[in-house]
Amino acid sequence: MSIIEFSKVTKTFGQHKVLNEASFTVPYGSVFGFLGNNGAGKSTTVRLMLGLLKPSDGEIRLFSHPSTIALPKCLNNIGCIIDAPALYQHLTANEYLSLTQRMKNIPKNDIDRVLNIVEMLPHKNGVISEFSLGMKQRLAIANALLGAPDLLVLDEPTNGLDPQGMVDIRELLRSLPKKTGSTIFVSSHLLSEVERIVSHVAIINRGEVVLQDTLKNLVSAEGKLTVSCEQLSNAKTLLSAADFQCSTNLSGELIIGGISKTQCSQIHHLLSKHRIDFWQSTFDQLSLEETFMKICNKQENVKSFDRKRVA
Amino acid sequence: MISQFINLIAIEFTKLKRSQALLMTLLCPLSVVGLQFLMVVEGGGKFVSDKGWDTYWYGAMSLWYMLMFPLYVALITSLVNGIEHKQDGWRFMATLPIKQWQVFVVKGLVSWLFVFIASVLMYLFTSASIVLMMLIGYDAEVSFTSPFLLHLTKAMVAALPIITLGHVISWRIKNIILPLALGVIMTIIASTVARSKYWVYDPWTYHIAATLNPREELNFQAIALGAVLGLSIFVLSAWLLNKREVFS
Repeated sequence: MSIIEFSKVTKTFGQHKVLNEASFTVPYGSVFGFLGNNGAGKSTTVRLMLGLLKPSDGEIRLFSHPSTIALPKCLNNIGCIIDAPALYQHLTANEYLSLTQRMKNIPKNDIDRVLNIVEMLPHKNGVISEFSLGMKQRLAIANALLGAPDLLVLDEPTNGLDPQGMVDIRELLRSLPKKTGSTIFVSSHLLSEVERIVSHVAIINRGEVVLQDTLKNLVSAEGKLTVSCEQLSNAKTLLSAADFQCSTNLSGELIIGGISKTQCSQIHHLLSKHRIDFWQSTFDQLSLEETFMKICNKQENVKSFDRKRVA
Repeated sequence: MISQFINLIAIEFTKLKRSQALLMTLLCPLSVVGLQFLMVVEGGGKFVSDKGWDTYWYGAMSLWYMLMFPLYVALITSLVNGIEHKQDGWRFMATLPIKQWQVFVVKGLVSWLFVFIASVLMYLFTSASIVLMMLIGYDAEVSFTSPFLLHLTKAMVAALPIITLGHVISWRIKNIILPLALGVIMTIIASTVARSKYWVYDPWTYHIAATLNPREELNFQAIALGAVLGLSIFVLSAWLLNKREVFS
């Protein structure tokens, strides 16, 4: 069961295609990371999801219903932050949260509950303009949490925060699934931040969703093997001949990239068979950032190859 | 539906807490009455003609409807919508279970309510200033022939087009200066056009024609024009705006 479903969604502004047949599904209960560079189409996707923009083509389903039917009623069940949080700076935290509370017909005591979750209860009557950026972001998250929505949509939740603010918000986001039980959709370009909190990932590049998987599958699929051995050039020639991508690092170690765990034992076997002794071999999984770069670069290469072929 | 609208109006008023809207609603009529008061005191009370306090009353209302009222309309519509432009509130509102046309209607109603409150305050301050003048020794025949409620109703209906236009312009334009400048320019133009036969082509003259013109048929023409034009622009704008996407 998916809470959000994009099927071949395209969005164009004039001649410019911002989203190109984007398809992905967000499972119920997941913490879904929607990753992409600046300008990749993340915010447009979020705005389409919430009905702020209308798709040029394709279908969006929310809570198993077409968004055209589900919205704006289901917005009662969605908490969100888009880009920088929109806060009425002259209001107090309590007054600001009361806007959403009254708009969504939520009991008044829910304000204290959400302020408690984001650890802002002592600042309930503080004026927002006097808050730090991190506190404002916490308040925006509290606003999104009002009414305990089933879906939280957070667009770049750590944008503009200092390192401490980022850590605080990351810890808060990490604790949210347990505290709220909501499905969380987080869009971000800060991969290392997202990697620590998400269970599922989709990668968007230049308006195209190029990959969707669980984080576990994505980062454990590939890695690099670092081998310390004496006959370095022999080993390199041997493995290159077997179609492995080999290089050496400054410490005189052999690096074999783009391999799976099963290929590690093949390499070990090959080296032993040719009597190349190695005293250390370490397999490192690719980080989300490395995987992301690899996927994006691969797509760029395919596109430039296609362009050359057409030319 | 009605309770939802009342709730939304209350929310809009919460948003305007600690903003300049409330201060301006108090200051604009107060400054007009203050000016009229000072003019009379400076003149040694020579304002009193055969009609007594009615002259004073008419002077204050002329100042209000010809000068301050259209300026206040431009100011308040700019403030009511400017709060969203300034704080990225459109995005915030768009993510709540409320349709764009509802936001438009509610904000329009709030602007109208502010104009209504300012006008009521104008009448109250004028009455209070008369009492004050009597207390400090200025005497005249007390003859309030101007019907308070009828006067107010006429103005509020006839002013519908300028409230709506101010609302639409400040909704669409982020910069608060532009709708304000337009309000000033149209006020100056209206003060001249109101006396000509072309006043029907300038919506900024309708409230003047409805309240200050002694000819009753012109009063009703201005009110009818105001009601038809104001409501038409309002409904059309709400319908068109509802189809727009939210970019900011």
